[in-house]
Order: sequence, then structure tokens, then C-alpha cells
Amino acid sequence: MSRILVIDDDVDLCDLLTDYLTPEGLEVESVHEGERGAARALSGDHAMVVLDVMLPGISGFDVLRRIRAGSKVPVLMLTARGDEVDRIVGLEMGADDYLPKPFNPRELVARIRAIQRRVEPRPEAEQNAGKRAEKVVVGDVHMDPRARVVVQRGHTVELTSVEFALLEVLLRTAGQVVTREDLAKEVLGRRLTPYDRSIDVHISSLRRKLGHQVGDMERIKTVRGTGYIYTLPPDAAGNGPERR
Amino acid sequence: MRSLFIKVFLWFWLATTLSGLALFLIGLATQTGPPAEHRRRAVEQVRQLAGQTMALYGATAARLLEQGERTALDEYTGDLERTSGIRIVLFLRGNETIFDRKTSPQARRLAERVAGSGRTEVEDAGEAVWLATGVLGPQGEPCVVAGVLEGSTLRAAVPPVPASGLWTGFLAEFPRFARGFSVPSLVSFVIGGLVCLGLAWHLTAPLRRLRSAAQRLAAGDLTSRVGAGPVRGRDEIAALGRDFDLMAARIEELMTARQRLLRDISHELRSPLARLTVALELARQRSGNDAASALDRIGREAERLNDLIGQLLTLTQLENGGDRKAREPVPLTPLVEAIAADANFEAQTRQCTVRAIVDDEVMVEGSEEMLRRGIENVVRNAVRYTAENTQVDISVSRHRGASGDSAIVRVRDHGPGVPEGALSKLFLPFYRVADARDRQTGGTGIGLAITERAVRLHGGTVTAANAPDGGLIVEITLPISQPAAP
Repeated sequence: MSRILVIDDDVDLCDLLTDYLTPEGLEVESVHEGERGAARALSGDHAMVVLDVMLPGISGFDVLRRIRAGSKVPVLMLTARGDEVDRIVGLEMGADDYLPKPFNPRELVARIRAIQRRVEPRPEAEQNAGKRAEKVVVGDVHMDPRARVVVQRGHTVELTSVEFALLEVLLRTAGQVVTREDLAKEVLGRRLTPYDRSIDVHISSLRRKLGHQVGDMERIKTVRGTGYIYTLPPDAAGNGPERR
Repeated sequence: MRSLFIKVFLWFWLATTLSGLALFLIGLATQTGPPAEHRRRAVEQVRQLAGQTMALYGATAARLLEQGERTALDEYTGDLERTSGIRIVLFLRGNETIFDRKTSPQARRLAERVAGSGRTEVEDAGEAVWLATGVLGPQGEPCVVAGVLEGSTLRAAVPPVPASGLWTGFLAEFPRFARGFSVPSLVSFVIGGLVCLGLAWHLTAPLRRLRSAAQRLAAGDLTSRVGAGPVRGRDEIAALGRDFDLMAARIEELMTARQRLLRDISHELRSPLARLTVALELARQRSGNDAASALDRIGREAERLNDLIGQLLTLTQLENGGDRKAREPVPLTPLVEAIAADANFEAQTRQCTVRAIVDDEVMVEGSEEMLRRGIENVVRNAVRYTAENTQVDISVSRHRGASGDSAIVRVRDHGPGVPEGALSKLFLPFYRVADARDRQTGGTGIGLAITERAVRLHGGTVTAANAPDGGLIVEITLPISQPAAP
């Protein structure tokens, strides 16, 4: 049973969520204020954190900053609907996904499942797709999906789970265009809603962490109106990503 | 130039220049021309006459002295004083003082000057006129005789200025006088100009600061203040600055309170909605199929309520001026393409298509988020009303106008259109053309009002018209961003 930490000041909503999520096989722990929420999230007892942006005392963003300073635990932000800035800020600060409030709890369960799939790939899925576990090397980036590490020129790059999944898809299809829709389906496990900039924000985080340029070429190119393409190093062009 | 600074500066400068000109003319009129010339000649004439007279008197006096008739001399000078008003006060032969009636420094100084120059000297001491001239004594030795003419006898001898011929003399003298005056006048013109420049700058500086503070306030910077620094003192402008600051503080207070209230309302209204949607799903799990349709209805209504809250918040934000800080170049073409793609996806459920016809790359300036909401609402509206199996066309084009280029986004549906009388009311909040149908299609009645506010905030206009062959055309005109003016 997965333990989920819900940080939300709405006590009644937390109770309702506990009622709803428990039958889904999710154990819910509720915390109603930010300071203690951040402390609990850093304890390592939870598989995931659901974090409300609007909290009394320290805000959800501050809680997120504290969590990210010490943990890579997946974080799902609950934002006010229509407040696009909140979403983008949350994603930029390392949240894995967001859900505008009020939300349909079925949607919440779907997002939680998507994050779970990403973080703990089921053993049978790994067996079915053996290549999933293979190491990927494209240019200066080495990825080991099994150990969940990315090494760039000898240095480990710290990525959140969603960034890791996104980079994996991009590296496996390096040199080819991947549409934003496909990325959303593979990485976030959902369809993009209109004006959803989640993928774009995660891409820009990847660019920031890996460097915008590889050699004198752009690392991750934007194909306007379609999606993204991870640039193959010139010598490997046409051969596809190297597998070891 | 309409600037107050320029006005004040030019008026001051004009005033100093005019007063300088007046001084010049007065100087010209008194120092040159017939009156001045006339006076000079008259004084010269009087000087000669007086000199001759003095020489004559002096010769007689010298002879009388030679003959040793001191009493006769006294009588003679007494007669002279009575008849002509001239009193002989000093008589020198060589360096020897022969006669000194009333030693006065003036007479002696004048006499010494005559001994030096040899000509007749006249000194006008106001109440009296001093005269001295050189004469030859009986043995041919040089002598000086000095006298005083009391009262205004001499001045009365100068005739008045003739009234005629003033202008000819005046104009004839002008070049000579102007030559002497040109350097001082140029200097005073430039210095006067500089002083006026400083004065005008000093007077208008507080106003400029006030204006820039007001502009910043109008541009949405609610913390804008004139401050105590630049506008000191107790004058009217300083008072205006203080009042402006009070006003700005009050506005900031109100706006902050309003924004906080809106945020709180949004939060407080949405919290129950969030609980309601979770409770609804719990109810769905625990109830049988009998309740399903009613629960669906509750779900839809909750969703509608949520949309309404969101749109009301958007509308209020826009009426507050929106996020004015968000001034960025927005490429309109990809924005419209993205909106069309999304709308097309939604339209598929009604077997409709949304096409974007764009050929121009058009950039506008503003908030992409606001523009997107504005255009999206029009497109959604069009998708909602267009007949099944028809299409909605969106076009972006560039229009060259007298006051700069503008971008036109035209959205056309193939629906029933709108009664002519209702076209202008389409953009009012909660205006409904046909109540029943609108509810059915799920509109909140605020979408187009949001469009209108968003477009207006970007300096554009939005109009609606019925197409000749049916359907509604909504046209959004936005000014195209020009390179920033210096």
C-alpha cells in the first residue's frame, strides 16, 4: 500500500480524500499546515506528496522549496484554477505535476497512478520491454534507467522523477521529433489540456540542468507547433542512440 | 511645443530681451541724435562765450591791478557781479596768487588745469558753474582768471531741444550706436536666456516629477509616489504633490484590499466546491445506478459554478487593468493557430471543424495570457453556435491604417447569427441573446465580455456583425507593436 502525504489546510477535504483514496489502495496522511508538512515530506515515509499552493503560514511554494532541498519525492501541486502563473512556478520549482482545484478525485487518482508508474516501473512491464532497462548514451549524457541516474561528463545530474522520465523518452528517440502530446502521454500519463505548458516547463528545466548547448548545437530543439527533438551528436547522426 | 517648461522659458526670455531692447532704445534716444548733439554744441558755444568774456574781464582786472588800484578792482568785480552774475574769485600771474576772493578748491583746481591746457575750462557744479581761462598780462606774462557764475544763468542760455528732425538723426546714428551696443546686448541676451532656462526648469521640475509619478500610477505601479524629496517647500505644487501621495496611498490601499478580497472569495467559494466534487464521487461509489443521472447533474452544475467563478475573477482582474506589467511581444499567428487546434479538438464532438487561415506573421504587444483568453472565448462561442457539420474560420491579417498598422483577427461561424439589435450588446456581461439555448449550450454569459475587456486593455476594439449568408463574424482589431519610440 502506498503512503501519500496530503498537505492541505482544508480538514474536511482531507477527510473526504482519505475516504476516497483508501479504497483505491492508497494510504493517506494529512497535514494541515506547511511547516509540519515539509518536515513530514522529508521524513521519507511517503511515496508521494499532494501539496496545496494556498496554505496558511508558509505557502505551498515554500514547502516545495524545502522538500526539494532535501528530497526527490514526487510532488503533485494543487493550484487555484485559472492561475497559470502558480502552475508554472510550481513546475519550475520541481513539482512533478499539478491539478487545478477544485478537481475531480478520479483525475487525482489518475495523476497519482501516472506518477507511481513513472517512479516504480512495475516488474512485469520491465520484463515485457527489456530495452527499458538498457543504458542510454547520447552525446555527453549517460542514463542508467535501472539505477535512475544520469551522468554528464562524470557528474551526476539531479533530476526529478518527471524530468528523468522526460529525458528518457527524448534520449531513446534522439534525432526524431516527439510531439508534446506523446510526451505528455508517456511522461505525465495524461492528455494535455488546452494551454497546458507542463511539458514545456519540464523541458526548460532539463535544458537548464543539462546545458542549452551540446557542442555548438542546441541540445533540445523546439519544433514549433509540434514538439521537441533531442539533438544527436554529428558523428552519431543517423545511427540512433547508442545502447550498451 | 506645448510643454509648460518651453512656455515659461520662452516668455521669460522674451521679457528680458524686450527690457534689454527698451534700454537700448532709451540709450539711443538720449545719447545720440539731435537732442544730444544739440546739447553738446550749445555747451561748447557757452564755453567759448564764457571764455571770451572771462578773458576780457581778466584783461581789465589785470590792468587795474598793474596800476595798483586795488579799490578800483574791487569796484570793477562788484559791478561785474551785479551786471553779468560772474564773480571773479581768483587771479594768478605765473605761479603767484594775485587775488583770491574766496579760496575754493574748485577754482584752484580749475585754474591749474587752465595753466596746463591753456584753454577755457568750465565745470558745472550744479548750483554754480565754475569758469577759468588764461589771459595775457600787461607785460605779456600768462595769467589765469577764475570766476563763478551762481544760479542757473548758464543753463538758461542752452536753448531747448528742437522737436523736428528727430527720426532722421536717430536713424542716422543707429548703426554707430548699435555697433557699440552689440556685444553687451548679445551677452545679456545669452546670459538672460540661460537664467530664464534655469528658472523655467526650476519652476517646472516639480510638475514633471508629479507627472511621471501620475503616469507610473496610471500604468499600474500602485507604489508610485512623488515623495518629499523633489517637491519641497510650502508652495502650491508641493501641496499638490503631497495630496497626490495621499491619493495614491489610498488607491493602493483600496486596490490591495480588493485584490485580497477577490482572492479570498475565490478561495472560499472554491473550497466548498472542492469538497463537493470529492463528496460527489464518494456518493457515486456508494449509491446505485438510480442516482447516477442526478449525480451527473450535480457534477455538471458544480463544474458550471466553478467556471463562472473563474470567469468572474478574470473579468474583475481585467477591469482592474489586468496584469499591466505583462507587456511582452506576442506572436499572434502561432497563438491563433494553437487556439484553433484546441478548439478543433473540442469541435469534433459536434462534427464541426475549426480552421485557421493565416498568412501574415503578426506581432502585437501585451499579455499573451489575456489575448489568448480573449480570442479563445470568441472561438469557443463560435464553436458553440455553429451548425453541426459546418466549420469555423479564423483568419489573421494585417491592415494598414492611417494611425499605424493593426492586426485583425476574424472569427466566422455558420450558425444562426444574432439579431441586429443585439449585436452591440453582445459584449455586455451576462447578456443573453436567447436564454434557453444558451443554458443548454453551457455558456456563462461572461466570455465575450472578457474578450471585450482584454482587447480594450490592449488598445484594440472588437465588433460583431452578421455575415450576409448567415453566421456571425466577430472581428478583433489590435494595434501592431511598433518599435519602441525613443
